[in-house]
Amino acid sequence: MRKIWEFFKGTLVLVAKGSKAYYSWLLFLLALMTIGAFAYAYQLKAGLIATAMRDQCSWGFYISNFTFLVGVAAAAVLLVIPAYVYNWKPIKEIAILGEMLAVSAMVMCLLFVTVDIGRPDRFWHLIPKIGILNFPQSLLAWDVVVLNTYLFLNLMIAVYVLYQMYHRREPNKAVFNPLILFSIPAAVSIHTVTAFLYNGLAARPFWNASILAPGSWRRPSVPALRS
Amino acid sequence: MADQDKRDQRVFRLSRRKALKGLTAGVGALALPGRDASASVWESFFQKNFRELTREEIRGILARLEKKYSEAFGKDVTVKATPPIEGVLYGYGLDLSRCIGCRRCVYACVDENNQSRDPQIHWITVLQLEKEKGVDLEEAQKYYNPKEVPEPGHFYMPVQCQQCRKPPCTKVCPVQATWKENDGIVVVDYNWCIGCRYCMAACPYGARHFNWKKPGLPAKEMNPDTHYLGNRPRPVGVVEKCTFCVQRTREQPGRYPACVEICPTGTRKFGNLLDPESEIRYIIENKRVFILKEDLNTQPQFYYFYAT
Repeated sequence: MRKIWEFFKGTLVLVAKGSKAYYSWLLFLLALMTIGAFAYAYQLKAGLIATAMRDQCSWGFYISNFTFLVGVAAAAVLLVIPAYVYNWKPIKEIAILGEMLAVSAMVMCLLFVTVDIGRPDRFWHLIPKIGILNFPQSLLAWDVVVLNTYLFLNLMIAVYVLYQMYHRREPNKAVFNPLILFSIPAAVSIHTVTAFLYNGLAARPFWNASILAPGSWRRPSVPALRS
Repeated sequence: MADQDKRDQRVFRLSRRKALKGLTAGVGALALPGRDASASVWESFFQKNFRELTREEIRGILARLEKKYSEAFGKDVTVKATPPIEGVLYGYGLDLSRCIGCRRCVYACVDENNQSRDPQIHWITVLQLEKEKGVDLEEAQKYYNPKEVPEPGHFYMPVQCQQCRKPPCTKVCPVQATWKENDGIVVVDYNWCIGCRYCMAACPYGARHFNWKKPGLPAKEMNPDTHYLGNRPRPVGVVEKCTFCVQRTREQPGRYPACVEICPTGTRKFGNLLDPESEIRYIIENKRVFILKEDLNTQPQFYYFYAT
């Protein structure tokens, strides 16, 4: 227990140390986060009308960012497979960075979904048993399950590996390998999120078609009831 | 089986979940007792999905809502939860050869169903189409605004919720906040919807609408005869849709939906699909009928036809 406490305290100290450039970068990011927080506070007060989305276009930048970041998160699998399935040594060192990138991308994904829903106060309706999770019928429910699984998995792996590195030990293979191997199908399953979310809808045949761009170029004004 | 029986059965089956929920609610109430937070705020926060409520609980909720709305709008508001009538499946007919595109139905619907006036929410969209091209949605104009309708060379096609037999919108809802009732009406529990708008993406008819802002509903114009699953005032951030005026059509004796009542040309027909003597059955059996976007297999209960 003391060792775990040491690890968290030690990493915090490490994170807080750096050059001037590092601090200014952190300050810059913090400034961006503050702007975001104020914007979200405004949106909570005004309603989602603040986003300028409307009924005709009810999903916008939030959801496209969400699906983009799902792709980023799933990319970690491209580092994990050569490192741990083919045991290619040189890439092992950056595989952990991939995992951490996946964690941060996942956190951003979930935040984008949170800011996109109209009633964030009712998020508990999604929790099985307490609320109702319409699984597996709703593909959004599937998304909730796999995204959280992948986040949890990568968080476990990354923190465990960092913890062992902090104490200058090799990760215990018996704990580590099953987790990392399970993260591969999990990464594939989060790739289905993007596909299912858009292409599971018969109402929007153009959403996943290569004709999307030329179609909207041909007719910039969107006619009613068009997908 | 009557809806109410089904509801009771479901409640019985899910008793363990109810117990867990009660526990969470209890712990939550202990952990978060705001000193000046009124009890009704917490009650509505922890309210369960409408389909899991017992009769007693529904009665309590209706009383709470009636009190809340009556205070907010300064008049006696009633909130019903009338269940479907046995042996009734609603069907709607719309005569494309008669519609003149006047949009009276659109605004009668707004008045009856307490939609937001600012920003405007319309459950009915009237599309202007060209006679030359027929029903071609690619050419449909939603925002036509001439001095006088109908315009030569055009015909009009009002679109609202088609009350599909296989509704894609209820399938995709991640929390089951929307479902199809036994009389064929697709409803939303405004107290359970989380506002993710996946149903709007899934609906091929653009029939679902979102409260992007706190609905602007002037007290003077508010219709005090409301239904829990229908036209009661909506909170911000939830999805709403046409319910065939559930507050009117489920009463005995019932009334026609507001759009049927207002139509000056008799374009709109409404009735019971299970009654062989009904007008809607006559239309389906004797007129040229089509359903919108048939290829998507949503199987609407809304029939367009040409009477002449």
